[in-house]
Amino acid sequence: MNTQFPETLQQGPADVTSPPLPAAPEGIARASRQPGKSVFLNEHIVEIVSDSGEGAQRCGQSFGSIAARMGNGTWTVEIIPAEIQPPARSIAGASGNRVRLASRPVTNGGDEADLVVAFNEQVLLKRVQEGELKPGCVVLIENKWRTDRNDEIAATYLRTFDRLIADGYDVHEIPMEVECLRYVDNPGRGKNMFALGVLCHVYCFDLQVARKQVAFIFAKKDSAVVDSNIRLLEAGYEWAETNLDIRFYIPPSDVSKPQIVINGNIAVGLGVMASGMEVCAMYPITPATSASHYLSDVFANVGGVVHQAEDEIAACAFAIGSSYAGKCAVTITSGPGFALKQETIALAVMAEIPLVVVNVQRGGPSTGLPTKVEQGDLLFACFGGHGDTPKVVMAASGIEDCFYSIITARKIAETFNTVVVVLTDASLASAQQPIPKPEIDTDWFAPPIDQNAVPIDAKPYDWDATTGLAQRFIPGQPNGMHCLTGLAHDRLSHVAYEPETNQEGLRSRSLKIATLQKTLKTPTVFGESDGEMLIVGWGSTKGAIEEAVECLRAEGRRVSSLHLKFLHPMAAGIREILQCFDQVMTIENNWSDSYENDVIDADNRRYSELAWLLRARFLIDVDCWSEVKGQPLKPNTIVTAVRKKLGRKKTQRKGI
Amino acid sequence: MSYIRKPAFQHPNLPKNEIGLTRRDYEGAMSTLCAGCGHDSVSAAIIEACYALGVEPHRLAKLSGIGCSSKTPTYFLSKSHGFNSVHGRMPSIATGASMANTGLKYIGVSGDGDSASIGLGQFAHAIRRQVNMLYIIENNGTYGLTKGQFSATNDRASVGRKGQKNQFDPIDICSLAIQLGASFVARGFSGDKAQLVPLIESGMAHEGFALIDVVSPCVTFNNHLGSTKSFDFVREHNNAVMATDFVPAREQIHAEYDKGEAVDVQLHDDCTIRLRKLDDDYDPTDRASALKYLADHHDRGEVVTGLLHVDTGIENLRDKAQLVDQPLNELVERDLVPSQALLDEVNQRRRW
Repeated sequence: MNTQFPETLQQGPADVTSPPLPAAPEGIARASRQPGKSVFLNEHIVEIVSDSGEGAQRCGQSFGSIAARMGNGTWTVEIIPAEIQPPARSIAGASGNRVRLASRPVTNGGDEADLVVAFNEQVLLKRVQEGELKPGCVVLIENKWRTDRNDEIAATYLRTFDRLIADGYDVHEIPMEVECLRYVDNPGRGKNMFALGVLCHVYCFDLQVARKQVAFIFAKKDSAVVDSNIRLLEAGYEWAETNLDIRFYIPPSDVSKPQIVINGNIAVGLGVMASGMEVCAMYPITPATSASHYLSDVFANVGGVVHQAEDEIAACAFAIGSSYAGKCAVTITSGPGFALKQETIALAVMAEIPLVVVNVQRGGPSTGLPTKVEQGDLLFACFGGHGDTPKVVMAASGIEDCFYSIITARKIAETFNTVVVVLTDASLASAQQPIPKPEIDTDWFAPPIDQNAVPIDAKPYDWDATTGLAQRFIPGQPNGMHCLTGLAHDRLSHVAYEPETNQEGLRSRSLKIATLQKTLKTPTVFGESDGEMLIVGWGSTKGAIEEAVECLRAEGRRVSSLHLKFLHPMAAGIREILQCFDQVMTIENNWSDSYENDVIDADNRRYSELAWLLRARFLIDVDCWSEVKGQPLKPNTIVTAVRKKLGRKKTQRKGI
Repeated sequence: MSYIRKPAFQHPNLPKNEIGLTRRDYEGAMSTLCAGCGHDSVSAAIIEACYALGVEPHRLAKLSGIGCSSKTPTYFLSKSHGFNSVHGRMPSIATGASMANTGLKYIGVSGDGDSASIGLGQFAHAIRRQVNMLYIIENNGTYGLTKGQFSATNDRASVGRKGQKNQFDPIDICSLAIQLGASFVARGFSGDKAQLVPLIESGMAHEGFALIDVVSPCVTFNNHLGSTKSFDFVREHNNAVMATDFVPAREQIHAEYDKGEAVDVQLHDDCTIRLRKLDDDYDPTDRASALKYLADHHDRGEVVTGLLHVDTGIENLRDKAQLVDQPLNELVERDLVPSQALLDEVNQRRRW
């Protein structure tokens, strides 16, 4: 939060409430840092934007990695155009990366940017129009357009430049291509490394660390390419040293454990491996595919199967086939694919076959916003499927949690012989951050399936009357022969339409969910256990919500938050938590009607998805606030929404 | 009639196969299909083939989708594993199961609605991937369970029970399978068990995707005059191009045939398919000429049956995926957890 545009503080804490800042690393001081000119900060948000294909994404990712190496907490957010190759210099074509770096671990992308590097003024305008830049934001812009042969382009550039200055932005022009031309023939390729060099100087990064990062990302290219890019990096660094009088220093966070820098999809892939699921079935879909790609890459070395199916249905059915045959499998998809999988998910529920389904949510409905985030599939995940299809739904609240959620999911799937849906989303999928390197725990592995002969006449669905659980027999297991079916069946797995048999089957499958619920821990409240308002969230919004709560509490508001990992079933004790607050409101990244619209009233309002669930289960008048802008929620946006809801009075009694 | 239990009593002198089981041991529950249904003859042929091959019932899984045909796994091999899944999705479930446990034999039973309509995509990809299974389509040109709609394999000239005209050309399952690269393609007729049993035996012994399209008339909805999937029509127009004998590994081949009269096709586990050409023009190893033959003879209103195409030189899905010999579901932590050295190597590529 506390990221006001930096006043020029002279070597001192930017914020008196922050912990004492460590001294700048020796290397930096010796290299070039000019004492008295660097601004010490707790955090900064940096954006690099260019036309698609100009390398701003790679520049941003590298910048984030270097920052993590320097010990900063980081969080990166991809800025993705809708098309693969949008026209050059178009507002719609803005592509790049946002990096939030801080002197502590960060849990979300934060608010607006403090500094932006733009390769042309059009992509910059896109970010201005979207309100993504702080007032007075530092703008570093390629200035070759000023002298462009096309008069119209030159005029547009000048007009924009003047406007930015007039609007109070701190604009600095950089002759990127002109400088790059001194080292390479084609400055179009490689000026992203020049920009990276500039940023490394501005943020007091160790140039040697940056060199290694560049060498690493071009490791597969020949040494001439590596050398050329390192040269451009150094050129950018040197240019900034000579020509730019802005410098920021963000001290490293206090991290002692070894860290790995990953995004949410890789965390999912690592979780799949750690859980011992060596079979993954998928069909290409944005933004889920990279998880399976990662697995495919690693499985080539360590063993495992990634099956690229002919469609989403087949991918799910393949995973079910594998689980049926005794090798628990995962299928990874996004909303449209998840919709197609409902048929076979219901089959797995009915036949009680363990299955892990990961839904990396994106904006919907239909094809929706393929590359952008939304939390729109919660109710669908809980209640999708015709008939009663009880299954487990859990959501990962961060990148590290993506990893652990998959491990938990497999254990639940095999213990309860059911489907476990893990919801992540597009923001987690592509956001990168350092997380503590997981240390392998043998508890992660599900025990091997007992394949010994079962007693003759053992029943394949010998449902326990209390828990609904039954031992599962797998094909090949002597005496375990039976014919699974998606039809209503009795304890022998014989097709049965008798009233009592169907009643018993549905009861048993439902009881398993209740039995799991008895094992869940009550989630803990962030903040105090009572107060004016409890914000309830789920999934990727955790970091932003908790940051907002911190900010509101600092303002004197008695606001706390609760984040749910298990959505179906929900842990015990939540009702009691909700009852301790004057108001309860969910904050979600999905649709809800607003009373600001005249036609909306209490009888027709459609709530956010978690709000529906909480209202239905706890009979508490849970309100909601949500937006569907395809962007991760910003802490400040949440703060504003809560302030508005609470009004001026600090204590507003029950009622909405 | 699934509520009618078959008597458990077996005559002590019933003949036994090489693993000591009788034919009765390969039977299933009483069929609930219509009396005279072609599908019941196919079930009987499967029972006969499994008995003759000496298949261990618990080492076999039978999978099916939805439809009359897909109900039949209940009526054979009750001592085997089974999965009666959802409409048109059996191929992918079989694909997944066959990867997770390569140690079992897999028989898929499907119908023309299940495989030529709702599951056509999955069917095509199971062929293309060369899943190691026997895939039987009980083809009657109609949707029996939903009371007699035309299916995608119904010939254009074939009219409905009440004289309804069929406006669309059929999908020929065998031609499609040959075109997609199936390595074993046969067509049988449920009314000709002598032809069908050795085809099933051969298909089960084949390592790769083996398809048998069995024309299996629906006595209730598609067995009338004017149907090209009726018992009478198929009997009259059956053009058997190839007679097939299955010779298990344990049997020595004693009989001598004149050169050119019979062709032996060696299968992987030393079994042999002995083919005798009934039509000199037919070559089951040549895809292009097989396709032409099928198209030409279909146009003449003939139903071409027999082993239509065979290729034993293919790589099946298990080979393509480079699976370990041990079934994946038997691997334990010791096999699955990569060594520290290997992990270090993988990690090294991702760090500097």
